[in-house]
Amino acid sequence: MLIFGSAILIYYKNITNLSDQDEELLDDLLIDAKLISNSLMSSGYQTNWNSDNVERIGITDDNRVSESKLAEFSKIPYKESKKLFGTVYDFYVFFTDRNNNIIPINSSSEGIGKPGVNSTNIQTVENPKKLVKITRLIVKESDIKKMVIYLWY
Amino acid sequence: MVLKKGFFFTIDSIIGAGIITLGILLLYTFYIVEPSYTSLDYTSHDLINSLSTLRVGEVNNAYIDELLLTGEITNPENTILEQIGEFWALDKADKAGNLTKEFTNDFIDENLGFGFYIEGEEIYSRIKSNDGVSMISKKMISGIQRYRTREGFTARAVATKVTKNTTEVFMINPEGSSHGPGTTAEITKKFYINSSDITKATLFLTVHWGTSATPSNDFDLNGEPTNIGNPWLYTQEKDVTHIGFDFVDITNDVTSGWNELKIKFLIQSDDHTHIHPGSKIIVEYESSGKFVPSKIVKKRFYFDNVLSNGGNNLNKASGAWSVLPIFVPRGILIKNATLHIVGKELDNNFGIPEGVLEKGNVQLYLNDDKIEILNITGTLNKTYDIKDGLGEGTNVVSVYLNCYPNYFFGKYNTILYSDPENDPEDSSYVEIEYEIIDTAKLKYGKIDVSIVESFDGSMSNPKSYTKDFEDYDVIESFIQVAQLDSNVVSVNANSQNVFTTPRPLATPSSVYIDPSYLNTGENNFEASDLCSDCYILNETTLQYYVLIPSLVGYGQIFDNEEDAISDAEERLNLLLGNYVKATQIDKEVNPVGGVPSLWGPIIAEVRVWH
Repeated sequence: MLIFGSAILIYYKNITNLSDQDEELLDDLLIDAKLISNSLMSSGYQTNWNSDNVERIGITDDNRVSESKLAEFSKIPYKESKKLFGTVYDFYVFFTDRNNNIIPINSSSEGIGKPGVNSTNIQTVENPKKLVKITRLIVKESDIKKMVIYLWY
Repeated sequence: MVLKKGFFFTIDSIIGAGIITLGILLLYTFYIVEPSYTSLDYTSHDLINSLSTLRVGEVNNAYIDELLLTGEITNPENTILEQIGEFWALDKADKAGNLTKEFTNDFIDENLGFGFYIEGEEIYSRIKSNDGVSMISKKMISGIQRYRTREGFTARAVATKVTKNTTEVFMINPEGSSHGPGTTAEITKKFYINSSDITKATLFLTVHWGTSATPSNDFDLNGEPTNIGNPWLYTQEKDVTHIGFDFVDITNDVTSGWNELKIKFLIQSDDHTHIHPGSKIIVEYESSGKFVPSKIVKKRFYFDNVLSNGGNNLNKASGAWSVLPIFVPRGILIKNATLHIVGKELDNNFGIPEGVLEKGNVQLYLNDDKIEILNITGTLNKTYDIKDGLGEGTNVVSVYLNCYPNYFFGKYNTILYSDPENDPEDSSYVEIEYEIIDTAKLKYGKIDVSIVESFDGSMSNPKSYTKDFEDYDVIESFIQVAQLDSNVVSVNANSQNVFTTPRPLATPSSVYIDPSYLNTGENNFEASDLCSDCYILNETTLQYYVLIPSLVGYGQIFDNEEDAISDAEERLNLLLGNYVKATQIDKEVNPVGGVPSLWGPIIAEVRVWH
């Protein structure tokens, strides 16, 4: 009985510690995800930036997705993108229409982010400890689209 | 046995606890958190931004296509938000709601409640339980509302008959005179007032008489004595001679049509009596009629009649002289310019002093150039072509008959003849005919008004006056220099010289300033005299002719004809200003169908809640 009780106590203590850490991690992921989404919703810097001179990644012009900026975003090496977003976590960005059908970025990829992942395999490929998702609305290709951002650890 | 049982129970509990712990740890390991974070403020903000960005003409949407096809949407440039607002303004709540649903419902997380509102009025909502946390994003919108006024009216107005308060200046140019005690000189000035509504008339006179401190001159206007120079407003003594300046109200003495001013000089003592610059008659009156521009302009300026009555010795000598300006604007081609001079009772039987360069009892000059020097007894009636001698601006014709003050005077009577009322063709005059080459000067449908302003302050040399013509279209302007003593006068407009007296006694009473010298905004006019104590009086005047438009075009659209007409009349009267009054206005009302009017601004808002 004593041993059983001790095991229960040790378990609860571990679980409680783990929950606190998880909460902090989740908060951190959410903060970074918001920052990344805000950056993407902006025009970026420099004006008319490209993958060589970009200082802040933003893919809109006049509240619309700029396809040229999106293309330039896709050319930025993943590690460089993370650095520009100021996050240590992994990310993946993609667009969907009103019916949640994915709108590919280009013919070779459906989204932009960590190589090897897509909108459906993050959990299986990455096995993340924590994963957050933010959805923003933006005008793209003459309609309102959803921009989905995954961030995980 | 007991110990053995206890051992088994302990082992059992350890295994049980281990299984539970392992199970929970495994469960924890395989548990992945994917919180789908949907911020309320992001959702409401992104949605209203997207709706205010996306245009109805660009979307590929069946419902929009239907609305365009049926004509419900007429402006494809409207944003979705503006179109919702327009439907709301047109009381098409169902279409506003459907359109809102079309562009919101699929984009907002199904776990969230939201609503779209205009001016607080719900257009569309998706109700979910509200835990008290909601976020609102707003935008102000406005647009063109169709058919709010089924028919509108706009009007324009033309002043077909007008009365205008205008001011005319009749110049009394420097002229004179007999010489020596007992002689007389009578100047007769005839001037025509083309109005029966004279509001004010003023006579200004500067007289230079001889050595006697008290002049014995008389002034009659239309046969009645005029009390001017009694006493003189300003006086100046110069080389023991005297100069006086005065002005008097003659409103009740002038009349519509021809008027006659007689200036009667009785020379009491040595020297000759004559008029100096600053003499003029200013008449303010009400008249009618518009400016009728003509490509060919013909103007005639008459000399005043000067009758000098002397004796047969040179101590009681006679003579008649006068100067007359002739104005040449820029941008014209002079076709003809003539001097017609009629002198009567001329007598060249007197000796012209040795020191006088030009030996003739008749001397005619244009500016500083001789027209002709003659010796004539009897009558002179001659016409001269002076076209080639004219320059831009103010030119001065000087005529000396039987005299050249102060070098010599003649005998008996001398007449510089002029009677524009009864004998215009045989009077003395200058006439110019020119063609306007600069067609910008040909302005139609306008009302010409002459305005006269006095320089302010007190007499000085030089003297300046600043004038801002504001929005007036000035077509001509003149400076009428007023002085006591006068020598060589210069007039500048905005630091550019426009006139300098070309020869002695040749300062006219009016100097022309072409509009090309004028600035928009402030203008500075300066008059000065080479002689330091030849002051420029503050009675010096600026006369300018302005053209005032007589019509206003179509204006705003009103719900009824009366308001449209009233608006046009109001705009016309504002345009006519203080100097012109429309006595007959032709109005034209134009009905306009399907008049768009503005709706808004209104507040559209998206509310999102958990």
